[in-house]
Amino acid sequence: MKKFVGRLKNGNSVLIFSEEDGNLAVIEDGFCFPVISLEKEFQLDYTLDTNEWFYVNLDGEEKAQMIAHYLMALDSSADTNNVVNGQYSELIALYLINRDLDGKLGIIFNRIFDKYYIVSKTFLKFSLNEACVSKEEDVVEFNNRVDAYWDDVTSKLYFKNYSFIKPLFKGIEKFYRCATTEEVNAFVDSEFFQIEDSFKRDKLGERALKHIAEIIDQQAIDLNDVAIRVLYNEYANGYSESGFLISNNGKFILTKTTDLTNVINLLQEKYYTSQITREKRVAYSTSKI
Amino acid sequence: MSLKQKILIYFLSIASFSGFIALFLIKNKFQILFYLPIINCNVDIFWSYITYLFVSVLLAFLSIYFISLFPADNTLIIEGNDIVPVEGNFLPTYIGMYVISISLGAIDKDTLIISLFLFIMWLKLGSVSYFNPFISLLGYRYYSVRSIGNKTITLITKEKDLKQATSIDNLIRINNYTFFKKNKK
Repeated sequence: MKKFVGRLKNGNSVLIFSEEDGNLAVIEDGFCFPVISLEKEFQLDYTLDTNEWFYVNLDGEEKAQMIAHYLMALDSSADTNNVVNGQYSELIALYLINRDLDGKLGIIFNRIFDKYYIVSKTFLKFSLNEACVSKEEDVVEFNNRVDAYWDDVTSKLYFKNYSFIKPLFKGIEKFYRCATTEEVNAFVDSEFFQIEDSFKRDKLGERALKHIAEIIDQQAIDLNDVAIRVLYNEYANGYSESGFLISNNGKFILTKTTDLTNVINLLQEKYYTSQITREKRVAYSTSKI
Repeated sequence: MSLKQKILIYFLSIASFSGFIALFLIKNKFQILFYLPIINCNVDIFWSYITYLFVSVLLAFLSIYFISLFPADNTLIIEGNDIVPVEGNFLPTYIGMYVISISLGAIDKDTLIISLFLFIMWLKLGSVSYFNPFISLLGYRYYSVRSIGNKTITLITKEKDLKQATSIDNLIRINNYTFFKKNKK
């Protein structure tokens, strides 16, 4: 059984095409379930290869929170209304649910951004070898791109771009946890740093907040321990090209947000020297071997 | 909603309204059958009445047939066995319409205007207008079912007892709140 469904900004789903509808076959021509050959557990800053997918494993509770409401359009389709005029502008995603005869279930998602909705547009085209004008109103562009794929067999949610799919899966932030304001304050107010007036802690980006959360969660570094700070001072001195500012008492001076980015790289030991060419480098993504 | 679905909905409403027309014609002793050449005799007005009722039953039968042409690709998970037969809820509206049709006068311009108004109102009444006692005569029942998504759905089915049902499949969507259960062959 298959359903092609739209997800609205208000969280409701609307049925667009059912299996018997000939339009579904046209959709399926381009919007296909991916064959995942390369997969990588979701990791910040990791750059995917062309055929590679990030994945997150969802347990029963997470599945209920993130996926169950999408399945409703198939399991209890009477709960879902047919799409009506005026709802295309409210779409946030289109998704295709498929359950095989053997019960194997999968969902592919296509994120719809506001720019895909066309209020009115005029096209020039050929019809019967004659130039003519075609006007399209209240339409939404569907580009066949699979932004996320839920594999019910493995309980894995695959995706390529976290920011694309974030609004579609409530609770996925836990796989990309950002530090809270309180945590950021505790972090930068520690003995490790010396904050200058020019440093705006509220200007920190999502990436920096994520890294701060990672460092806090790992609990491997005691930022108030002077001995540890001395070790990081020595480490920083080896990579002074990055422009670390260190006070007389060994505290890392933060004047702007990029100073914090550099120190975060330092705390995560991303500065290294290549073994053969002795080139000093910074790694944007690391994996445990 | 597709054009086919809109046509179906109008047909169901017309079929549902046909009972009032039949009653109105009977009340006014309107005769359509006078003489049957095959048996070479005059026909009693009684047979006209039978014809009106037969047309209503035929329309009910055709309603079921046309609904069955639509794909039965919907499913419903029922919330906590919340299933209630609802013929009783529709009957007051329906009986009210019968009373109006009986109290209408002879066939004239005024009656036609009132009937037309009632018919348009009936078309706009939504799920109530799909209730057709002649469909009930064909063995179908009307249930109000609460879905897992906490929506109240009207279900037309030939199954006599749904008390134990937790989910229902093979459903044909008439509109977003009315579904018809297609029997498996």
